[in-house]
Amino acid sequence: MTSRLPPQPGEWINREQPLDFQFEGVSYQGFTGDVLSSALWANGVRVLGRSFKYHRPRGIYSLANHDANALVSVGSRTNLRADCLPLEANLQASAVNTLGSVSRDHLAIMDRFSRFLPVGFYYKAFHTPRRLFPFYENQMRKVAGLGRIDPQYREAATAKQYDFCDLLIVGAGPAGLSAAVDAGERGLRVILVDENPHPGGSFTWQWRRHAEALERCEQLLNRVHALDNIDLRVGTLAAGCYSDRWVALFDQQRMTKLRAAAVLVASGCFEQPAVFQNNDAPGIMLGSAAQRLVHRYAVQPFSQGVILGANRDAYRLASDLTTHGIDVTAICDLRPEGESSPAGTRVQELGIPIYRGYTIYQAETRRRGTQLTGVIACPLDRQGDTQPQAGLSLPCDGVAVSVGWAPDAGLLYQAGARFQYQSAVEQFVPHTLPPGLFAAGRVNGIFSWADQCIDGQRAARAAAIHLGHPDITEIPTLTHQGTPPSHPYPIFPHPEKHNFVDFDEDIHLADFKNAHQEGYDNIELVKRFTTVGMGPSQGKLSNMNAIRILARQNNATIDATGTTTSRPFQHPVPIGHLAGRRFHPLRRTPLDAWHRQAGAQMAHAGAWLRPEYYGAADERAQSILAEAEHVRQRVGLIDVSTLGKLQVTGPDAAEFLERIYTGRFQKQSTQRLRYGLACDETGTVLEDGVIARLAHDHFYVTATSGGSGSFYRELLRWRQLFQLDVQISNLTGQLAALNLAGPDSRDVLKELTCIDISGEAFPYLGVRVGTVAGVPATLMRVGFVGELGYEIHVPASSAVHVWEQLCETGRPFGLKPFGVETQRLLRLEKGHLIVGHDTDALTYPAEADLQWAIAQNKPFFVGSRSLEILQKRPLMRKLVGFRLKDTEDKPFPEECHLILDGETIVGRVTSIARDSTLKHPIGMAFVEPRLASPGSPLAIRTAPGTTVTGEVCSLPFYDPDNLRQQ
Amino acid sequence: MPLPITRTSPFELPSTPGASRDLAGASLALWFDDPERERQAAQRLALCDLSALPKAGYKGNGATAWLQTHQTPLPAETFESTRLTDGGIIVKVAADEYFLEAGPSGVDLPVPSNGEFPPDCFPVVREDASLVLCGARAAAVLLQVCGYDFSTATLDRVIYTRVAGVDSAVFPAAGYPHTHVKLWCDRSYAVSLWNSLVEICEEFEGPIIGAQALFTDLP
Amino acid sequence: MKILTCPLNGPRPIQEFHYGGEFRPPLDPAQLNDADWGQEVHHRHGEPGVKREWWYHTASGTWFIAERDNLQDRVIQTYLYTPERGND
Repeated sequence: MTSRLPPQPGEWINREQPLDFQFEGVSYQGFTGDVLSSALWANGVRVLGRSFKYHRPRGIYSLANHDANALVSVGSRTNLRADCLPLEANLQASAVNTLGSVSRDHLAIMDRFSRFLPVGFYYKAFHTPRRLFPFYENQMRKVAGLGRIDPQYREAATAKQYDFCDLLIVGAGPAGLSAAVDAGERGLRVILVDENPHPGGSFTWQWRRHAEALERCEQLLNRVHALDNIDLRVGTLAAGCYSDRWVALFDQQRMTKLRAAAVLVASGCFEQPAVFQNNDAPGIMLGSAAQRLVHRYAVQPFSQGVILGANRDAYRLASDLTTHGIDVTAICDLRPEGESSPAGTRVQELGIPIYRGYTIYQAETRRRGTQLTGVIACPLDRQGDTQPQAGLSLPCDGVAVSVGWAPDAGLLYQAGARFQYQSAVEQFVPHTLPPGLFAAGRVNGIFSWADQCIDGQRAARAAAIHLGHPDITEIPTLTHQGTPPSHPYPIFPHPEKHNFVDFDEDIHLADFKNAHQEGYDNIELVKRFTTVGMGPSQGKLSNMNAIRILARQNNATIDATGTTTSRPFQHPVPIGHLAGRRFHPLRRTPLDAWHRQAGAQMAHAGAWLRPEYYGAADERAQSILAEAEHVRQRVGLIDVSTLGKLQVTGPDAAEFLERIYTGRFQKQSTQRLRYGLACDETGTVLEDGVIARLAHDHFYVTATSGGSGSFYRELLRWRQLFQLDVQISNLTGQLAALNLAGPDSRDVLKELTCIDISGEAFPYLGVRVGTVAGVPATLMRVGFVGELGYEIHVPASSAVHVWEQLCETGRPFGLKPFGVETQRLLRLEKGHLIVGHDTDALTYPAEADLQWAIAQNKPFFVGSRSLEILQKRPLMRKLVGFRLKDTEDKPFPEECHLILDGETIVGRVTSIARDSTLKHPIGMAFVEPRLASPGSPLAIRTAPGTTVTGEVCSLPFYDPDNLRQQ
Repeated sequence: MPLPITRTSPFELPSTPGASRDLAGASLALWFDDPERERQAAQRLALCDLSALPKAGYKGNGATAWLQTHQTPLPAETFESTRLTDGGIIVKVAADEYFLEAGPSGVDLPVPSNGEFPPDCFPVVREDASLVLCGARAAAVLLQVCGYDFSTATLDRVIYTRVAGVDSAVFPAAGYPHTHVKLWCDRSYAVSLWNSLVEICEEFEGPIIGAQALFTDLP
Repeated sequence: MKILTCPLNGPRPIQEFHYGGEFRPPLDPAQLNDADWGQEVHHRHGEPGVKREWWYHTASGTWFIAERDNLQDRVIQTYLYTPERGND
């Protein structure tokens, strides 16, 4: 381990636990607590990845989860950022986006072509000729993109969870810890998250040698741990902020959907790069990255370094590095006046040369850019322009850049905060925050740790006041003192065009010049044309400089230039964490298990699972036909528990039903059923079913399987609007319904019930309450399938008992269960339409021959006024029955196939099946009224392009005189 | 004479119960493998099917008056509850509606002596699935399935919310030996809800238990 | 994810609710000519501003009215419908 420093106080690595790992097939050793980047750096590895476009070698730059060029694959996980990937025993990582290896990437040749690949090159170059685009696309896909997806990946359910708190604090640095203690001592339920594996924030790298700061950190952490109502979650990223303070938290295991009554963002800042030639060479890194390496991982960032600075932090860094035996060759300070604070004096005392008003003009490398050998520094003139002719060469193997900061403000932006650029800090700071959102610390433009602690307390108290806590002394807002921590324009042109603004996407300064020349003068357009900020780090290291460049190009202020939109997520998150567990509940009838055991083919019908038929999957047609014949000739039993079942009670029950349905119910006899048809306000057919009167103030109503949920909901709304004294109960799931149908059904049922079910005592359209198989039951004589039949409604828990008793009793009669596909065929033969299947969202009663169901001279029902208007208009279409001639050698028509008159579309098929008795195709269709009379010819276009012919016929197809269902 | 078993639970249970009791035509599992282990699991985390408990609903302007002639004090406010003598629950689910669930000892729910309800009081069939999530880790399971903050919930007050995608009535119950959350939901959705809860409970090592561990007064 | 306050059940996440469309005070159909009735049933007001809307809390079966300012993305108040309150 060539670059590991002796043990550092507070280091995050555990030297007792060394770990072996591999990178690009080579074995190394690190420690528990290392991230992959720190362990590789400790082993002297400097090339950790290749850049996206030009495949330039890249090393550590931020070590703060923004190193989007050091991406690795581990097993089937890919595009993992090495600067935040915890080292594990026997970890086997390889770099993405290379051809060959990361140290000898054959695609590095792209860099030589870079001058021929300006932004917009791909948009323009491969646009024409269009016929060659597939070829270009194929070639480009081979080199584009980053990691590879493992097609062998095995899905694993990742549980999501909800959580709740009074105050969420994002960031456990000086401000966040202080805020947590203040709020925690007030009794608030606090969740404090930090994306790092340890709390402390800048205490753990910037202030490690500052005794007073360390003592404060210790005190704060002790309080946080001591207070039960503070839930400290490290390794947890607050990745997105949505409406009403709904924050997505991510850890290794899962996403937590946190609802916080208030959110305090103390997320800090991202240190920002300077733009100069070869500013991406391995060994050039942010000052904060160098300090993170030293203090968290005890790794020497370089042995001989130059600091490019423009703030006090650069001078603290110089002292810090010197203390750790690193030779600081020089500080180049962009500011002509340099640093006059004690931090500046201390550096002078150390004898480090300080070049005031200098920048690094270019970095020098060898071995194809993989090794930094030195920099050329040059003075800046009064305008801040470089004077390369006066450049001087400074040998070094590392550069630390400390020229400014940009707020980690994504969550605040997402929550609706507005920011303003403050020249006192040369940074965007929150200007207005939405209710319940608070900001503190560096993100709020406060840069000294002591002030950050006060600012954290200030924000925590503001949050407590927002949450309604009384008697709180507010703390006044602080402002930054001293020189700005950021430089307004740390960006320097170079003719060689390897001065990168965006490392993710290899966008250099001249690209912005090109974009501006093309007319892209708005930040959102510049982003889309150059792709700045669109890489994996989402512009954390590039957006601020891009704004500065554009502002200068437009000769506008930073505020006027504005920022791009911040969207979730803050950092990339595993897509499996988003998927979570699936909760798409299905409805099952109480007989579900019985059906499966009996070999039913189950199918989705709306929210329900229902048996289509009983039999083998490859014997569908035969099975349905056999079941249908059995019902027609003997007796069958179907589970119709999916039917909507509503109880309408109360003094105004009949009045209510008359307002909802088109028919009349005031004078309906008890123990009798009536057909019910309901429309919506526009006159469209909404629902149908039967309405049974059990007592003068008690009705039992059935509705369609698919529509009953929304129908029930609408009834509740009408109940409120009508203000009638009526109760509506949805019994759909409470009751099971079984339809026993066929010529032998009476003989089966009479064995099991005490009710007199003889034809005289219990006629067609009658309803009776009693028991079946010892269980309370409501019996209804309906004829949906066109045979003698009984709908038996029983409590859901007794459904299996009653069903089995019926099967047992029906055995001598050959009773067989039948499925919903069979029922569809039988009702089609009987000419019964299904609302929502044979009708659509525009069908009104006259179109479906349902005029008979509308009571005349009724003052009002829902839709009556609209039907009055529709009746004055000519019909545009009509639902008819049809029969087809021989279709054996042609594709069988399907529902929704078009009906043609010559080349004109005149209708469509709504239902079609093969008649169970005569075996020829029958169906229902909408056609134009001129083609609706029985005997009219009808042509259906079946896919693909063939036509079958038939003729319109009167309904029903089966038992037109209704003899069988009586 | 015990009634023949005519009522069945919507759920698939792990095995044949080691002991069960007949309850108004249904079989209530008391324990499956080992009653003592189930008692311990109930402290930590367990799931229990109580769908066998008889339930009833009463609706209408006359419901309050009629129930008052039959029952111990009725809940005053909507969503509040009172207890039946055998540990059953009465919930006021709306201004003119009550929901009753009997306890495990099989006390009959109120029915009119002559079979006739008074005018303006209508019985409503209630066949809701009834299940209990109990133990110290029940809260962690609820966090995975429901967006309601139960840490602020009032005990013995029903909360209508969505659990694992299923509209449910959730009842954080007081007066039981362990942390105890009861869920009622429409029977047709119950299997989906049950399967989701079983899967999550398994991850937390919470088994399906019988009713005995929940009711101290059961043999 | 937004929070909506049901007058009976209190604040709940939005996925517990069903949106029921614009609230329109019930009119007497007999008082409207055909054209006006057509407007009444087919026309909805889409302009941004304060909207009165029907919302339904699914688990408890509660319909209520929400006044929502969709320019400011803010719910002003929610209440149960009564003829006095709804039809003004």
